[in-house]
Amino acid sequence: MYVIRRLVQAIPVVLGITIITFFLLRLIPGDPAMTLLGNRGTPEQIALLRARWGLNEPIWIQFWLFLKQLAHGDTGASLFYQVPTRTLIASRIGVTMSLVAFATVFSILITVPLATIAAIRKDRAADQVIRAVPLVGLGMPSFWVGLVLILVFAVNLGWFPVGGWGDTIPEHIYGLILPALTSALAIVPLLIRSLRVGMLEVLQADYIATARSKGLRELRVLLVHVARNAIIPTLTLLGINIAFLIGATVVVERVFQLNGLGSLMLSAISNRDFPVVQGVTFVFALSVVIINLVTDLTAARLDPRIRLS
Amino acid sequence: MSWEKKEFTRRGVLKVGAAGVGLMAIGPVVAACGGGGESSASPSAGASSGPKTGGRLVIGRAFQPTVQASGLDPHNVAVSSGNVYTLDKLYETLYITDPQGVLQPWLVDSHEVSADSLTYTLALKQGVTFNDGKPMTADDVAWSLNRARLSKTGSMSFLNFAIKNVTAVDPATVKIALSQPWAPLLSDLSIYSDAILPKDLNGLSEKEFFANPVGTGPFKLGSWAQQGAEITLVRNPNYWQSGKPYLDEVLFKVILDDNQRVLQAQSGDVQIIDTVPPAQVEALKGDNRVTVGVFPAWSVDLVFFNQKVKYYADTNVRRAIAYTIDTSGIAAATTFSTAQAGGSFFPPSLEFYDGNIPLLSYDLEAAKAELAKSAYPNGFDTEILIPTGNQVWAQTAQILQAGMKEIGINATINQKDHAAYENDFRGFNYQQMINNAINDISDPDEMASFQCDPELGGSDSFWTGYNNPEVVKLVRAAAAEMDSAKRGEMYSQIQAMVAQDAPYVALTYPPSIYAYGTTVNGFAVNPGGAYMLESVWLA
Amino acid sequence: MSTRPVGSTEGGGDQAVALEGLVVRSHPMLRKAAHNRSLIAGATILGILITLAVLAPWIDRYPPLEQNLTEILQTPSWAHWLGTDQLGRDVWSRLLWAGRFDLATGFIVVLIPITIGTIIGTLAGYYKGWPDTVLSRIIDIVMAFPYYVLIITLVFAVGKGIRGIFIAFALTDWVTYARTVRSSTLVIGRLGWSAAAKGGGLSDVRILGRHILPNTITQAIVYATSDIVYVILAVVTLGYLGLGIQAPQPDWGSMIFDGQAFMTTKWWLSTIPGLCVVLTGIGLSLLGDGLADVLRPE
Repeated sequence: MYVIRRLVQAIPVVLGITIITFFLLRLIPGDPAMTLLGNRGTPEQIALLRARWGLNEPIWIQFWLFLKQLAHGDTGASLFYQVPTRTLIASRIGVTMSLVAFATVFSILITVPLATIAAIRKDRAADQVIRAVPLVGLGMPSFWVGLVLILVFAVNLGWFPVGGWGDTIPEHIYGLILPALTSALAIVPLLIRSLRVGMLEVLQADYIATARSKGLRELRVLLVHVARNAIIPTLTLLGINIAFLIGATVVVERVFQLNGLGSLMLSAISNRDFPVVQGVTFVFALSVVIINLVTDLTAARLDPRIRLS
Repeated sequence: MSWEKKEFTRRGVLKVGAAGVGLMAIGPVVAACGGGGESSASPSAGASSGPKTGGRLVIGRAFQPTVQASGLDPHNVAVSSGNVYTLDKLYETLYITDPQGVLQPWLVDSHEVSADSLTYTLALKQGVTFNDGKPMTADDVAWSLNRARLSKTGSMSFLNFAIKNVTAVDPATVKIALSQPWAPLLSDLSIYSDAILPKDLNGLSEKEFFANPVGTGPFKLGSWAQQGAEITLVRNPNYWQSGKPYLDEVLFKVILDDNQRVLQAQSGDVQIIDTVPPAQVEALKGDNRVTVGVFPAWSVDLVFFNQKVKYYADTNVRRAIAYTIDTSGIAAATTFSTAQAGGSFFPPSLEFYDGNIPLLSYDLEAAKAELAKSAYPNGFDTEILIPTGNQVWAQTAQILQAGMKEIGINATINQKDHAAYENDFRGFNYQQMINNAINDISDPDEMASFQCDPELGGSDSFWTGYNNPEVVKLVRAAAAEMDSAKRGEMYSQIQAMVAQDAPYVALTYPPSIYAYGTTVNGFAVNPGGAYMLESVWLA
Repeated sequence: MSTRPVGSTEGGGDQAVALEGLVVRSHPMLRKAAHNRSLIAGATILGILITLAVLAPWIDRYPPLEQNLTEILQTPSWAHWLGTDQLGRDVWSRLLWAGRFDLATGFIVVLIPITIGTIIGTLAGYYKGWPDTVLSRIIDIVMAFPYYVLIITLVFAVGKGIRGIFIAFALTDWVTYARTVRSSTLVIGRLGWSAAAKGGGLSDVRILGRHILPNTITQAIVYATSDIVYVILAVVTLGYLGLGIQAPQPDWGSMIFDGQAFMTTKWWLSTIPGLCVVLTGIGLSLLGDGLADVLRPE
């Protein structure tokens, strides 16, 4: 029930975003026709192209047409490629979603053990190192981190390809490892510290002492009681960061030459290819809403005391 | 811990020895259709055994392939680096420019000019066929050229304005009637947009025809699965030069990130890359897996002054600023000496370039004196407009800024994304800007008109508003002057006058820098930035 | 995330007593702070960086913008402690001035989002019901909005320079704080003792300010310490993508970006400013952890 309600609430959110984007795009200086035609384009040619694209109409008419199209489920056709936006997005969504999925998995795999060790060995050497080292991933921009990973693991050691998506599934996987790692490293320092703090707070709770005094083994105590409570704010943070990751794939996709939605969005913005920007925005917005929903649901499951309103 | 990491990284990187890390992601429509003279790198020479047939050539480019908005229609397509160098593999033109920058007949055997210079008669080469096997005739040529010049949306149709009509005299002869004597005509016919298509598109609609284009070029369209990312061309089995092309397939990939492009060339993932960042040239030269080709180009980077802004309507101001520009320093620092320092607004590889004209060379004293003569002797505040994504120009702008500061002109740098930058300068909404001028053909008329003839050049003198009636007269006369020596004199005068007027100042002449693997043979780039692939083979 | 009341096996009556305890303890917090190693270490590192930045006008050796095209890309020497960059400018001087700008910017730009976010998140988590629904949906919209479209629009709306990104950050960054604080507040709220406190006559504001906030804010602080680093790097990342954000000169981020071209030969050009950002991050994280320790009730 709650899920249905949230999904219904999601519709105006996603629609709202798409509509706002529609207007914002047309307010930004820069003209797709001019961009396409370049230096040699004459004013007449530019005007002709704009007319063909319906850009000379007053903005309300353009908006009305856009709504009509949307009502038919049509997200329009790319101005630059003359293929439906749907097609463009479909050809690239796999790349981006795989990248985000891998990055999430890596984040979890790296964060959980390290945060646990840091919490247990609080203030000792392991703790300090674990909290400091990943900060390099945070302090250096993604494009630098990605580059270093390429130079070390792809160029020097030859374990992975330099970039690109590849043609077969094994190649896809190999090609995604370094990019996913780069993305993960950007958020791991944050997640480690958040989880560590969460665990510490719970570890100090009386009820933990009570559980221990009842003789439960340490590990079980940890897993069952600490994890459940500690993990919630970190989970929220992870959810937020996955949403961030979706947008941030732009940089990683560029560094590793992956033709995903991020790079599509970027080139569409550069080209002022309005329909494509709108289409990708729609997809991104939808993903974020869904991820938020999943995060909230998971948190509720872990801690029934968080009653979903 | 970070120190450790640095050590490790440096060791690892030095071991590889090559990958310098330039991050000059060059914007999508920075005109890199340069062009020019003799190439300093001769076509790649591979094994001594003859050409081998077969194989797939992968080319990594910093530009997207043809944007489909205009499809694959050469007469109507909007020019961009991505489509120019793709289309010229599918279709061919009557003339071409060879790697040395010299105009050569390609689909033509010989030509004759009438006494009044108003009629050209071209004898077409025999045995030329389209990729569907049908022979190319004069009808096809006449139809194509008329379509090209009458196109309302083709970016380059302005070159054809002097053509009154093109007619087929007989199946092997074409007559071109001009409205005035026009020296650049044959050169104009080498522009990619004057490509020869079958008459009436073989009876198909535009949509049908361009889904599967028919041209005389060495390759046909293979597939275009990922729009904006990759395009594949396949061999034309009916190519009129028998035995060619050697390659089975050509794959164009888009690789926007500079490092990726270079690294993929070094690892062999791609065989040829364009737009090698100047900062990496030295390092790449030391890598024996790739050869670096620095090809002179008909390309000039300049700083332009908007004469609709009061400061720059004043010639003394412009001249003063010209004196503050250390072009040698700029060429050395920003292009690592891969580009020559600027002088004339013609690049050295272009016909009728004159290297002997007096220039306003770097001289701060002269700059101050010049500014003192102007209406703003105490300097003023101003702005330099540049697009994002161009490291070379970003550094150059900072150097210009420092130079102008010396004479009291305080410039801030205004960096905008490419579309906004275009919007601004085309709307004359800038004060100074850095931009690039190119010539697509071997004849300098294109550049001269575009930059000096506000009425006929189509851009109001490259959006500066520069209008020197004497220069305009000379430019128009030079286009109509059939005698080469006289033309040369006129262009020398034009270059000298422009240098003194300083409506813009040439900063450097950027070459086309490519890198290609050791298996690639026969690859060379002409000064227009184009490369032909029918003679390229993989060892 | 308050623990004592949760873990208490005694009955509800003790919860009021526990609250009293919390009140008493807030002053000894300062004493705790003085003994917390993390806090001290973090504060020290940041202190050094900030001092260097503040002293920049006096300890730089050349004007940071002064070019010298005959002395480009020099290795460190007595004349130039960290060498020169591509335009012959002294790297040490640029590093100091870049730090001045970046540290100030980072701290200031994060203040607004953390304030707005904490307030909104707390309200949503405390009052629940329809305020929560409305605020949560607003958070959803802002979070789902494509960052780059927003940035580009703001840059053009606000005009040249870096103000665009500041405003964009203020507008988009608060959501993270809001959501984390909301979750924490919800957890505490469920503990039931806030009802007891209300029954005991404490006003909403008092409850929020003295009892809920100190507990929920730890997670927000944890995030803030990395957020400052994100801000410092945001400008250059946008520059890398070609989105028309102009990096001020000098700035650590743009120094990293410019130095990229020379990784094999002059690796320090890129790595040293990066190191400064990393150090800032370490200082902030130690500080954040220390604060979290101090604020966490026993």
